[in-house]
Amino acid sequence: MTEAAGNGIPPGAKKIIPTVTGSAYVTAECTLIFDPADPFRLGVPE
Amino acid sequence: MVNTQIPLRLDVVDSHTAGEPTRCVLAGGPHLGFGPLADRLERLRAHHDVYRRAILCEPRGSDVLVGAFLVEPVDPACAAGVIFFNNAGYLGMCGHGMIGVAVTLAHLGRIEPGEHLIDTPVGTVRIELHPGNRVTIRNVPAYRYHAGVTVEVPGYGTVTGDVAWGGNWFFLVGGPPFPLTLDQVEPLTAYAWEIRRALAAAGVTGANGAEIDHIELFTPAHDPANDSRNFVLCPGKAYDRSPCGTGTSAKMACLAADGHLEPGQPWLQEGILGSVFEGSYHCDGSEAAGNGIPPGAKKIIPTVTGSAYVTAECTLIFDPADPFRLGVPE
Repeated sequence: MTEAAGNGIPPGAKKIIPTVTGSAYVTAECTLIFDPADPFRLGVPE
Repeated sequence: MVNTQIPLRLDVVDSHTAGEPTRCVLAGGPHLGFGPLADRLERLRAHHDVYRRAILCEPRGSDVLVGAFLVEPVDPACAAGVIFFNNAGYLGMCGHGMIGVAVTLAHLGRIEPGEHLIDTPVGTVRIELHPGNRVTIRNVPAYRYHAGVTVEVPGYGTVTGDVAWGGNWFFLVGGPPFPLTLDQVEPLTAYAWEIRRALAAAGVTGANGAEIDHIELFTPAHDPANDSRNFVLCPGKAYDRSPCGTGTSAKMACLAADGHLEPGQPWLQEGILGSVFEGSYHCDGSEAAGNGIPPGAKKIIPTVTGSAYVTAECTLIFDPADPFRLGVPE
């Protein structure tokens, strides 16, 4: 029953404490390989 | 009967060719019988298409991935048979995919450096595996179909380019209004897509009315060691991370037609990531021929060399309880 409080939060704003339920499924078991010769072994350039 | 089930697990090896990914399916794929790969591809398409989306589409894959089923070749002289597929359908041949498959076969210890034949639904492809993950593939004949075609592109003005075949139909445009860098992918994609739409609206096609579904933009190379830099927008609106094997072939056909590249002369094509394909071509003296191809069109036989690296050994898992086990809905 407390109100939201803090920098920029309007006085009287109703504070909620959310819970979220969802499902997840494993899609793969992988061994990632980082070939030292691979120019993109650390990802593509930013 | 159309198969709607897939196994619980499938073994794949992922690789990238100059940044463009390939997923090679080693085991657990559907039984396609024997005979020509073109017939097996038809059985795959008609009865087992469920595999394609499950393996390649989200959440296990992405729009950028090309898949490759390894199958028994018809001709025992071939090192392997391969059927390529993507998020939209099946491909007779795929340049970056073939380079990725060759490096995957080497990773598995199935081929050694040297020349090999690989069976595909569009015929036998000759490849050469070099040391250091480099592979040369011999592409199908390429030719320029139209030079200097001008179209009015809404929002951008007039755009002039060449129409060429390199295994796919391309519209090749120099001097785009944006630099070919990763931070410009969004405007480059929008520009290339509008060109594609303008070509379709203006009735500009490849031979036999074939849709031009690849747009290829060019600027000077960033690395002075290379000859050119490109950005290729693929049919599904994803951009090619690699310099594009068929696009490099189409470019060489235009250069050859203009007398700017001699047979055997190397052409170093840099892509949007700065990775490079080395192309060259030879001629067998014949002209491009077929319905709607202008007489005298110079036909070239391109070879493209690039490097691929294995990025993962994976077992894909298809939990029967997973609502997206067959891929996200279309």
